[in-house]
Amino acid sequence: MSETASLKPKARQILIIDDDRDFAQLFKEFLVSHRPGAWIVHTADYYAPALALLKEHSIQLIILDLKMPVMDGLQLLPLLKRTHPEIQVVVLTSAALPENRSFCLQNGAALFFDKADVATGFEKIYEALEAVAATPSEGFRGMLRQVGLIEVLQLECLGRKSSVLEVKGAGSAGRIFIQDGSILHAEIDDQVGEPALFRLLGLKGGEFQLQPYSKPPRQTIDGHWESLMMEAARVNDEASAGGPLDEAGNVIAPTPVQEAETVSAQEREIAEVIVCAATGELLYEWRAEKIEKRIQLMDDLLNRGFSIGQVLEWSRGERLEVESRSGRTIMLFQPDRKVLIRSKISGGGQ
Amino acid sequence: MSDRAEQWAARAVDSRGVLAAGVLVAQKWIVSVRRDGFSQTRAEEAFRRLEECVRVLQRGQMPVGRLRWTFEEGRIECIAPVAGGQGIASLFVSKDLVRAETVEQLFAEAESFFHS
Repeated sequence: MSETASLKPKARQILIIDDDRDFAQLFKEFLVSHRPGAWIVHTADYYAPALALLKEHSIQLIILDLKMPVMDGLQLLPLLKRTHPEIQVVVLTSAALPENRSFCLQNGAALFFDKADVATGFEKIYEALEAVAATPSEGFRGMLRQVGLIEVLQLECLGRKSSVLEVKGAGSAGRIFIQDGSILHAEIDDQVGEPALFRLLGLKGGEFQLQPYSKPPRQTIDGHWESLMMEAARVNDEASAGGPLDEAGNVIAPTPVQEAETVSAQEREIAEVIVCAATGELLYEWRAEKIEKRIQLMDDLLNRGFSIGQVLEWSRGERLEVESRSGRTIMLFQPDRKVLIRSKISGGGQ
Repeated sequence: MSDRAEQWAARAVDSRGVLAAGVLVAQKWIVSVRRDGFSQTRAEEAFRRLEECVRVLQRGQMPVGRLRWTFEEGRIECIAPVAGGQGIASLFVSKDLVRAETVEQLFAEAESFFHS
């Protein structure tokens, strides 16, 4: 069920998964005729042929219906994002309920459209589809829409990427320069270096975007990324507690205890990373072993943290750090994500 | 050792930002609470649940030497210096008030009586 007419070298491959064959055919004809040669359109009316087509073709974009037999779109979406995280998924459904929209966007859908809004004119969403299909969604970068700034920065560093993170928030804009996984420079307003990095990582709200790497104006940061981010977490904790930031927002020199911890942090190396959705679907892993057990452990601890929080009236546990002689594990429990990062002392094991 | 643990817990809750202190000795929690903080019953229950978490982590092949659990309104600080989690010292602290040095000092003292 593929349309390969009018092929051009840069044609993008799109897969429409919808059990309404008339609708799928109509949409396919629109795509093929609207910009001839721009798309190679495949269709599948349920999950099995869809998965087969994904194996056979290099698909860049999936249009997914929700109401389908055997495995519906709500079940298929997490599976697709787990098995093909590099492919963008746009949901197009007549079941455009708020809870479905929320679930789909939280589980990796790039866009969510109501069929009723577009059935009379597919042109309405054409530009959006082109934009989504052109957006890289592979590896670490695919996580950008789904996780927070700190996690994106961690993943860029872990992957030894080179990029510039542009951050906007609280009326300010700043940049973090990463080269081969090392944070070289950060700037926001008239601040540079570690104070700027800590301030950027402490911004509440705002937005961020990964840009291709460009050389920073100068190098102002020279430390291991993990210790920098731990320091940022501590500084921001202390800042929210009225801790050691001076009146200009600059970081006061660390205490001997902090320095000792930073030195020891530099001897650690990342051993394992797991990112999973609140529903338990694996979104990303790096060198993870026993993934299912790790996810079960995170679930268990999330629930136990909730239970302790209830007793103490402290709401939920957000961040759990466990340290032993062999290394340290940090678990982040976010409303829509669970993240586990395990580091080990260089030369040691878990 | 129980006497030292009791003294430690009582002294800990006199420190700024420490809301409750607990020590697990011989399978029993010795708990002190700040007068304006949690009730004794609630604190004991939370320490027991924390102990279960330490065991869950150990079963998950994540032995706990030190644990820090940040909640929206407070933080749990914990050390488990005795192999197998048989000895635990823990503090429930106010994120806004406690000083890192205070926690480190208290845990250094706790380690000394666990190892004495």
